[in-house]
Amino acid sequence: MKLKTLIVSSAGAIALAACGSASDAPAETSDAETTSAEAELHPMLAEVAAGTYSLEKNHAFMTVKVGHNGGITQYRISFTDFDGTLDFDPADPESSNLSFSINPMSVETNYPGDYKAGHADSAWESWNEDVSRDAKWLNADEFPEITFVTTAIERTGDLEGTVTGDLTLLGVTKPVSLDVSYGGVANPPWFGERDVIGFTAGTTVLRSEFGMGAYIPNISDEVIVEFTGEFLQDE
Amino acid sequence: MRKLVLAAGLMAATLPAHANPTLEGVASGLYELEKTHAFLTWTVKHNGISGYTVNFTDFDADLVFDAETPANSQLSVSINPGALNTNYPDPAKKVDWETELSTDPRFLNGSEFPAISFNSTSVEQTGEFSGTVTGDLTFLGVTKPVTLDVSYGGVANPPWFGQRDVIGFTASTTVTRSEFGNTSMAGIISDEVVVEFSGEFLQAEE
Repeated sequence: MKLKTLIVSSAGAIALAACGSASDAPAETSDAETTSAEAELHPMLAEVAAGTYSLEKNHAFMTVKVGHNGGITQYRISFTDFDGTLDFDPADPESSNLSFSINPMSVETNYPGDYKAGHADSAWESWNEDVSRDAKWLNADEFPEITFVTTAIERTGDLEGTVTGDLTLLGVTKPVSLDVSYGGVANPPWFGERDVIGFTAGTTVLRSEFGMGAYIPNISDEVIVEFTGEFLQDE
Repeated sequence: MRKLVLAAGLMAATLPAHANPTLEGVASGLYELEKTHAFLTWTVKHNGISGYTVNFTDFDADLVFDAETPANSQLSVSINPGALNTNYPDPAKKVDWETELSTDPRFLNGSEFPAISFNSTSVEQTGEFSGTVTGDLTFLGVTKPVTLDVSYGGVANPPWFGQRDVIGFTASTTVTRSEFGNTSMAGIISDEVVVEFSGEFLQAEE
């Protein structure tokens, strides 16, 4: 956190309330700005510390959506155990670096009721375990980690960009691009001087490219992955 | 920042498309929620910078569907505020946090108001497979009109349901929680709550 954080955050909030959209907020800088580097930054980036941030796991969500029954609706799954590290430079976001690791054993389907009662022949104790461990799904015993490592970042707007990287799923590594929006900085008092920055991200993966072809097209080949969450500046 | 929260809703709209959604041949009549393929989430903006998403895990809905004149359809939904999944990462604290969210008067106050309900009052078809469903939402004992943006996804006939049709929908709306008397942690938790549904309805047996 820098000295002007609260003031600038407040100004940003007012601008957003007036505009109703982060991307519409004008990149205004006050006359009191002294350095050209800061003057060029969007107000929502101007007071953010550069450095390494780690996922603030209590405020982070990773959701996967597939079309079901030929796409008449979406089936929704969450991962509950994942971690990320972000080297963030607010003055040059394209030089940032993001890495993610997801535990495929941590699937949450919110399956209602007694799975075994309706699936007596299943090898698994729960639908969550089936999705995590079955060889036709995430096959977590053989591939205990899903990873994403950044290879390139392109800024497409003041607060938006694409993060391209290598996704490793089921032992197959393929390039994937995430559409990312930066949400701003917060400074909850319990984190002292450390900045908290928020993002949303989304991408669509073709699971067949990673060797998961079960039930296509009844369950869609396209897998929508959505993230929303916060990163906390390392101590 | 409104955009940030709504981004989730916009992405939800871009579901893997059904090849050919159709209303032709779809049975009219009573459908019940197919609970093993139904998802209901609410998302608030947290710290002004990210989305906080919680699943309702116990809810039910009845749909009286008119395939020929969808605007004549009727929807009723009941949600148990005592059944939440926050995906909170620390298992030791997860139950406590979900209980607090469910029952605390600052949040869903489920001890005093054990059901959240929605009953449609009017349906308008706005596109071939889209429409708005307006109804009365009762939350925290307050009843207010709310309008859902709904997309119809098509019909399926899995063999294990015999002749019964399964129809899919996605729906979303934004609720202003202060209108229902909930203003806790304003500034940290947004007043706007994005509610999203995705799921299937199974034709009731005659």
